[in-house]
Amino acid sequence: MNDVIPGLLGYNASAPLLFTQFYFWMFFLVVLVACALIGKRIAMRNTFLCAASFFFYYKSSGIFVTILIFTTLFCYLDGKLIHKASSEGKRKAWLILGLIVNLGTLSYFKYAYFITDMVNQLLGLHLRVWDAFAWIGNKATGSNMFDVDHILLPVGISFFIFQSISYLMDIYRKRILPLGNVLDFGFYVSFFPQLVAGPIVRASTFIPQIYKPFFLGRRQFGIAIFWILNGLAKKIILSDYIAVNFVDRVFTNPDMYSGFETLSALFGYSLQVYADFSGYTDIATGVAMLMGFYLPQNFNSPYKAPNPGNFWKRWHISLSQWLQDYLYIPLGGNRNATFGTYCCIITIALIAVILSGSIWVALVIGAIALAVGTTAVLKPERRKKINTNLNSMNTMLLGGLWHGASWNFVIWGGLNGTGMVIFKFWKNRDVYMRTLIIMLVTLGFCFLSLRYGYPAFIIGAVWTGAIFVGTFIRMIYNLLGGTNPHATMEHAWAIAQTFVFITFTRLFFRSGSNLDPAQANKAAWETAKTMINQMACAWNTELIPQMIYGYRYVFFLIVAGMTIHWLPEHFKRRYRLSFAMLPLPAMGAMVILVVFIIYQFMTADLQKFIYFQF
Amino acid sequence: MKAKEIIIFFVSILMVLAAIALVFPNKGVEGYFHTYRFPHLDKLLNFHPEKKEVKALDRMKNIEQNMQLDDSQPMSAYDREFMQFNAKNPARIYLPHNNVHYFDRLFAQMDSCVSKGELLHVVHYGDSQIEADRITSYIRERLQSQFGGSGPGLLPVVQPIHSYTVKQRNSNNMERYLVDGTLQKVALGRRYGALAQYTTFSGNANFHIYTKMDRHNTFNNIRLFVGNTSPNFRAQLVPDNSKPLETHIIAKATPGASIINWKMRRGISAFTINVSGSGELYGVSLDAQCGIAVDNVPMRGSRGTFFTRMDQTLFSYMHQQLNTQLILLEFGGNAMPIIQTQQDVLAYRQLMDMQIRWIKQCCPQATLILLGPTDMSEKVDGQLQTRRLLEENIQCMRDIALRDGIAFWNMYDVMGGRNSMQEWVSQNPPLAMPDYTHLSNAGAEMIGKMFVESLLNYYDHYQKRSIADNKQPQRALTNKIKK
Repeated sequence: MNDVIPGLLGYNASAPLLFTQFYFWMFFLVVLVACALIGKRIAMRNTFLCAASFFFYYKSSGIFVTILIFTTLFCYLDGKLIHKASSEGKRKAWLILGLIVNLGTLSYFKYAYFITDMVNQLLGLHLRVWDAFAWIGNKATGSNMFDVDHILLPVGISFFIFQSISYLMDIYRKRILPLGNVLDFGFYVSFFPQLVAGPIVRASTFIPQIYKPFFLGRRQFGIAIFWILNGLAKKIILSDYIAVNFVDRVFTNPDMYSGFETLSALFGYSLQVYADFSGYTDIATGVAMLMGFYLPQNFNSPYKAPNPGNFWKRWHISLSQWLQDYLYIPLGGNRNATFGTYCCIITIALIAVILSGSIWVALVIGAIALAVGTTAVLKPERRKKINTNLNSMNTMLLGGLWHGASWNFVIWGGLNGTGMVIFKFWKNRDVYMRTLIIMLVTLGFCFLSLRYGYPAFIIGAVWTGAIFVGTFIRMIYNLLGGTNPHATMEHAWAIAQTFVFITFTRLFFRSGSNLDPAQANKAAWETAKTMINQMACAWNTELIPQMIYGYRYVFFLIVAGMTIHWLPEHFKRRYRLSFAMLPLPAMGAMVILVVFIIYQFMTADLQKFIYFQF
Repeated sequence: MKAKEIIIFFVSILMVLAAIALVFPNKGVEGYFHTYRFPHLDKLLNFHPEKKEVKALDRMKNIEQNMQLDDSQPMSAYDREFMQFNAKNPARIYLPHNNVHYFDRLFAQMDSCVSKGELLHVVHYGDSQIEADRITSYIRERLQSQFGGSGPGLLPVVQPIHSYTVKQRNSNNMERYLVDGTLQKVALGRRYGALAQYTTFSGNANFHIYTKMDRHNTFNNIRLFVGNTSPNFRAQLVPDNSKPLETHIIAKATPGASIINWKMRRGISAFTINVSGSGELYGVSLDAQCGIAVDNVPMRGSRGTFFTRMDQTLFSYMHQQLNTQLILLEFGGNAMPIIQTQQDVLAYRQLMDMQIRWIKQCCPQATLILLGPTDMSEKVDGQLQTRRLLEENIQCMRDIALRDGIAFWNMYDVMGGRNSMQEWVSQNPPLAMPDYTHLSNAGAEMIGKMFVESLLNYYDHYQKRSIADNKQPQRALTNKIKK
């Protein structure tokens, strides 16, 4: 019994609180019971949920809960000060202070290694990170319990920092009034279902909900249960199984795998990351709904996107909208460029050059800058488009850096931005011009592949070659007088191209993930390079059936997952509603069955390591 | 819906799940494809599960610290410390009859190879654990730094597996035969040679090799092992960015094996060899004129029981020509999936016994060390744990090695022992791969380091003994961290 209470209430670094644990569901049941007992006393309910959320964060992150408390108190006060400021200058000053403190906190934990690395590279120094918070903790406790040589990233820090920034910005823009009670604000910032992985909730949409009494319709209840089961199944059956048994193995040591396996792992990762992230969001949505709160949609079948721009309207929607509102639009949006636009792009270009340490990167960036600058000077009518594209690139590059502080994430953001810009250019060309352009690009890659044989050129040649074939067929169809645009086929082709493009960018994303920040930059780049080498060179096509058979469960899950993903939305909505309207005993039986199946995947034997010759 | 109803729904579900948990057999229910499992109630209600504290890496650090012997102290104290290491440290090399002189002849040759202008080879046979030159590359780097020598050693002419040390490509008309493993391609004869593989060709063929090593990457002594050659067999070496060297011609058809040797004054790191005619190519050795060469021979999927399937004469001939003085045999991991009972362990032991004796017969000049497998995990009742019978298998491998008069090194113990693999996988960066079987590059380097440190402890002891016996040591003690 002596161990039970500390076990229930204490923090255990090796067992953080997760949605996939039985403990979480017991915790949630207690929260539900408490909410039911509190009834319609809204202030008390909000206070309780605020306390429960802080407890949840403590169970997930331990001592880092103090960072959450600090952010909550500071932003609550700063919001008041912005609102009460007597002049525009003071309002701005308080806002800037709020931004500095929030972004400073985020940068400290997230970018310390990145900044140190850059300073070292630039100045030839050998500085090492040193955790001031750990030092203060050691001094305060008179012990050495905190490691000052490593800076650990608090779970979900970006999410509550972004929510706090949104709150301050919306007060500054006079969209909302500051909250009167710090506990209400604490509840908004820390609401536990979305605290550690989003979606990022806007003050303007969430705060009105916290003053409403609990209400949940019968159908909403069913939908909430559906989202929870759907999320758990995505996370455990699709994401975890594919990751442990295939994707992680390939990314840990790509040298040991053939081109087919590395490419399959890349596509597998596309599904894995979606199932993982959207699964978490589904559970958060369902849990919040059961308490009577509605979270914004965060994913809308992203792999159905027909172009990169549309993809970002479907993937991590709350982040995309946050970046649009608080970064893209302040930079000038699609209207013009500001000082911030040029400042950002130049800074990021410099970072890219420094991190790469390559003269070629510097030359390419210089050439692009020259071409863009010349066009802007010679063709003033194109300036607006150039400015819009610069703002898009800035947003994507900073979005990349938000995901992680390494060169790989800069490339990932840059590729996404480039994809969006190229698509804007592409969509305004007729089919003949498109065919000509892609033919020239393909020929260019073919020439480079033959001349230099670099794997990246070979992949480029194959990829653009495939796009060329599709475009060429479309052109022939037009030439033969085809008038029916075959919208479905064209849409499917666009989706396929976007999916392949997004999957390719994930090569850099995954290579940069789950790494020790101190070594992330080098390790991520090496992994990405090796993956590209393997994909371009180490194929042995006659062994592909053998490989598919060897990893048949993994491949089956990838195909099944993608098939479900690509089902029409109206069909999905229908089965969601059918589930939601099941009689409660039948729904309960379904829940038990799904839990049982999920547990089988949690305890399934490891897929044995399979050797293939290549 | 009212909050009360939601709670009733939840509680009902939890009660049914609890009931299932109560009655569900602990060992699960056997299905056709799968054993169905459900957690027991105790497990569900244990909200603060005690994570099994393996602390394998702490143990390993401890092992590493205890390996650092203070060679500045008087001989008697040093000897005591060494004997303690040799008796107790998990990273020690188990010696036949605990004979600390076991390596003396090897160390004497390593010491004197440069001064005598001799080249000696260390051949590292293993399974996929050493693929891509993992572990071996570290051993090579350290031994060449200590005793001299350079170059990547003996390589097959065709190598489809990636390597961190060399990059190879070959013309399409070359066929590779491999005696064992998942890449196995059995030849009609048994003439596989020292690399347990060979390449045939007919007409004009070529292969290109360049080294990617950071240090010791050049070589000026290239030997091509050929056999069963047609009349007028030709071989020409073309260094990259340089003029072709002399073309060697074997005028008459030669059924046996022979060596084509190119010696250069300056070292190179990349070249192409053009061959014409037809024949068998057993390997190409890229070395310095003297010093130590360390060869990496990975056999993906092999249990190490293939040696006896090869032609003894050719194997023996090549090792004599290479002057192989140390053979490392790193196997056992691939035996585990087929070892299900104690009987299987004994059967594997018997097979390994045959291999060891066969190798000793072929290479009487060489010192042998058998390296046991790493820890490997499997899921039992949904929980990861060390594979059943792995420890028994390692024990048997050690016993048979010592009985056959060769040394044994226990990689499993060095990693930290039981369940250490899980901790190795969970490190950042990971020290082992998520298949809970293979070491990552970082982990392989760690193991390579531990092995070399251990071997050099024996070397240092040999040196100290030489001094004590009033023999002049030929080389300084190893540059290890002193206590």
